[in-house]
Amino acid sequence: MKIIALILSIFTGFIGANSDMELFKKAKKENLLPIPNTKIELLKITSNPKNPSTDAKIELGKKLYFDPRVSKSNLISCNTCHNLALGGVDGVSVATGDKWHPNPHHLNSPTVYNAVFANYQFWDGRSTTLEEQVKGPIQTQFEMAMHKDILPSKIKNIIGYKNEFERAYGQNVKITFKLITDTIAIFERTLITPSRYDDFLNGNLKALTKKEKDGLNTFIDLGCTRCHKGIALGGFTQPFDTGKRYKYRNIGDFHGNKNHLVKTPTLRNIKETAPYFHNGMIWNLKDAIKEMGKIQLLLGISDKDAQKIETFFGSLSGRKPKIKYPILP
Amino acid sequence: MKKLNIVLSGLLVASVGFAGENLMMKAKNAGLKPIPQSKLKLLKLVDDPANPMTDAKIELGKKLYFDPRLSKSGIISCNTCHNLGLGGVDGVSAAIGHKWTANPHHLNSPTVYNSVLNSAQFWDGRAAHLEDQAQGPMQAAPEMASPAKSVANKVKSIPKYVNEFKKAYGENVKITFKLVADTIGVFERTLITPSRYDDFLNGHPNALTKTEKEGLNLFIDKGCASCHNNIGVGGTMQPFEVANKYKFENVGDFRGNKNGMVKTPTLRNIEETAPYFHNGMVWSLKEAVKDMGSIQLGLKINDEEAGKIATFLKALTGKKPNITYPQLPASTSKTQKPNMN
Repeated sequence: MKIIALILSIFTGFIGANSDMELFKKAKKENLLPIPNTKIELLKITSNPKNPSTDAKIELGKKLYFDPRVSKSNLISCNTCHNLALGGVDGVSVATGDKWHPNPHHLNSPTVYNAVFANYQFWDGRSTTLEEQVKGPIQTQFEMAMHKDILPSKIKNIIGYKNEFERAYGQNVKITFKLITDTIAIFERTLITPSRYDDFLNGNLKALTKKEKDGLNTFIDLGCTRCHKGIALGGFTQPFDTGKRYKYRNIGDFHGNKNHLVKTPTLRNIKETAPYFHNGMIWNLKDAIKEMGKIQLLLGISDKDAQKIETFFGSLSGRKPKIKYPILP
Repeated sequence: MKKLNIVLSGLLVASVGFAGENLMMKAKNAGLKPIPQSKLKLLKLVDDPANPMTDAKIELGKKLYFDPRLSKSGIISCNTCHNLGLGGVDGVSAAIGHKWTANPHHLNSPTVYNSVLNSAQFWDGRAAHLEDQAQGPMQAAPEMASPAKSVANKVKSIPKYVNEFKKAYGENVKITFKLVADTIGVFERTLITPSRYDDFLNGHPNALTKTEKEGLNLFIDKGCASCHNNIGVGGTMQPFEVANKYKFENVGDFRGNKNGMVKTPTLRNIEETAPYFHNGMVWSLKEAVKDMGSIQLGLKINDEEAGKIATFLKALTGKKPNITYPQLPASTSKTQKPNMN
């Protein structure tokens, strides 16, 4: 009896391994790419050749990221809406900023984690780099509401910051709005979260459970990977809401860029970044999966398949970098 | 010549040393006490026997402290007004909370650092300890605006929080609003910041510079230590506007508790906690020193003296505990949704 069980388990194990390899190949063919598992490969993707990362710049960028004095009110930091403790988001439908103003287009804050892998930033994809992106929310009236000419003098007048800029960029550094935002972006470039999904795609076929593999398979078969692909599992601009209508399309006036293209959000850490869609109107992940099937793939995704995909999404919750809360100058 | 130099400098060191020791005695006689150096003594001082500290409780308390979901809106945490990156305060005159509402009494957020050393909490001293204090802002409409019940329900809706409560308090733990606040209190008890001033009082005469010592000496001579004393360098209830009116007394309607008593703020990390006074109307430390001299001591502290005292006060800027920014457990479908209204 024992022997039969042993033979059976070896047999099924073999089949399992075989189909795992198939799934692995299938995923690669669909252009699902892992976060590289070597530091050198990773740095090639995440670093900005125009402003190479150094420890001093990253540490300074972290301070600025967490510093609410970068806002007009002194109360709102980058981390307010892109909270690193909460999957890189604020967990509310509409971003709320200076004077409690909601985003006038009813837009939801995208996660900062892994944003470096996205080809485009903002829901309408109007920036192609994090450096460009950072300039937006700091100045926007309903976000941090800071004037770009005031920020540099505010920072320069804090001696500790002045010293850190000199350490990071040399004695003759000129602290400009651009340099401040570039430095924040350098920190953001470090915010990547490898997960078990990456371990799988990096060749550890046991990194995902059987159910997660099922879900990944379904995810590919249904066509989700047409948009959710690459390292970012998204991050490109794509047509949205063109066939079947998104049921909350009338909440807010956002309909993409001038060509009605919308940035596909990353699916990494998706379980931590509810509510979903550009206007944050769907709280339940399964509902979001079904709605996307309907709008984008013109498919009725069954409850069972949505559940499978949701289970797979659990494997996308990544290991967050350890961040020492900064003491600000 | 060389010999003479050595003898002279030896004498000088000795005399400075004596001055240092005399000042140390003088400070102790004025009721100034250091944060204890020994971990055991410190623990005795900050721990609450009714809810003893454990690593599990501290870590859980830290998560709750940083979690904006405890507020009605989902975007205000304890750390919003008591920012551990900014000396434990928000750096604005009047605290601003839910719906961008300013504190209706124009009250300034006191620092959370070293607040365990206070004998009373809040500007009017209405809470005796941190556990009690933590219940206030979470519920207050102009702050986090969360009803007690909804705080407890939110926490209970997140299985990982429930597990952490079990780890901290045992399998049969009942997660109540009080226990949430108590656990935040446990974390806050760890937020103490020993400084060079403590090193000095703990027997290291060279821990303060000459100017800082002069400042400390003046601080005692002028009488500041009659309220700003003990380990907290403040933290007790005292009459306010004893000698003269505070020039901004009409900004906000706060006049202390029913007996007109006001909690003396700690002076630890004072350099980092501008603006000053209960209504946060004075931004310059030197100006605050002078105003306090006039209001409380009936003294005119001149510019030079105020400068020296301010220099001394900067030696109270302490070493902050290392805090790893927490990863908060994800909400579930049962978690009450944020409400901006």
